[in-house]
Amino acid sequence: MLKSFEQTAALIAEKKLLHISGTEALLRKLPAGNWIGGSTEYFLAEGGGKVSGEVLDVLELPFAEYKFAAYDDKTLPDIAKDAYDNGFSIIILPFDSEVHRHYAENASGYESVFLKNIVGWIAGINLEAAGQTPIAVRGDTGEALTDKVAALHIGLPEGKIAQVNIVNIFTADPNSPVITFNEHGFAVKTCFVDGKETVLADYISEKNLDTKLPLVGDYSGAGINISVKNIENGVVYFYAPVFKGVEYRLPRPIADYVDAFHGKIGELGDVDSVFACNCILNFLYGGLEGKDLGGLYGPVTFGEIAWQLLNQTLVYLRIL
Amino acid sequence: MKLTDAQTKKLLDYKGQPQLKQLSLNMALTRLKGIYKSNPAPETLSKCTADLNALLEKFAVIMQADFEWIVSLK
Repeated sequence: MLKSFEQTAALIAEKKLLHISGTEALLRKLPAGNWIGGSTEYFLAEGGGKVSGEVLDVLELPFAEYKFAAYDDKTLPDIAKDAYDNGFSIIILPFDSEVHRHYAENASGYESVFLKNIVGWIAGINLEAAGQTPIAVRGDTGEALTDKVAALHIGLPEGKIAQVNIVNIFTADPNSPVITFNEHGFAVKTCFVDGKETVLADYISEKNLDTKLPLVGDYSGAGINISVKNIENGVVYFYAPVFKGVEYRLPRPIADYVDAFHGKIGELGDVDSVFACNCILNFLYGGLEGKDLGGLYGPVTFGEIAWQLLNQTLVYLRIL
Repeated sequence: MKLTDAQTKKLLDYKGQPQLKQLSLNMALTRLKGIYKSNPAPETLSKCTADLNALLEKFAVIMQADFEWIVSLK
């Protein structure tokens, strides 16, 4: 729920356990307390998507057992081991930091990672404003982190279980060629299109592909999106790494993002999520400012985490 | 709710679109397929079975349907 700085500070003073997203300047001014935060000025909220440096998105987490932590690229592999056996973890990573790259490329190999519930997001900036730095904040110490991951591990009482899921409005086009890669990474020169080695930038240009649409990776039946960041000197840069061994396809185009989200969220019924975030690319390409998606509100982010780093996806977590 | 190595092998070798409902299982299976493909030894298969069983056992409440789909593979 969107709140003013003063309202947010009052909740911190009440010792509430909070997840806070907002502009870097406001986050840095908040008092220390039981909260974790990350920078963004884009929000999906009741009443419509909003861009603002004046408000904070505040999520109250009604849980009694929790611990805060910060991780660098050397300690990140311990993140799942540190999580409660029954619970979930919210992690926030600064965009374009070493921990962002490390997590994106290695998370699926961390010990016991899929035995814990890990959600989170990549903190960003206002794309129209100069001089901002993406930060993750560990509220218990008041540290604004530019090169570390802020984590909040939450334990659940017996009889409760966390469930992580995604809403992906993109589906692989069954007529798409299969695109594969020989190595993993955020930057790619060549790929294989239906098995034939191809310069990806040339393929995109020759086929006049819309780079606002992600590649949809086939994760054993689940579609996982990877979005194009830019193309420079024949190299295609992505917002998340592509992986060797995963088959990617072009998606069916989306006529209307709002309709697509309404349809997908509507199919879920009454989802009582405790955390949700959605992608900045969906917000920008889908024109979501002022549009109400009908639920699953939260920060608009520069990458979403449901165990692994995803793009152009809504991630949510609920307690059963 | 435990898989045998034979059931795990059928899952790892399955060429169609797995009908799994839990995202963690989709992701874990993708990783295990990669590991098994790079070293298709009996020990690797047993390790994959153990990893899948740990996941299925821990999240039995929400993975019953996925387990039933896996054991139905011919």
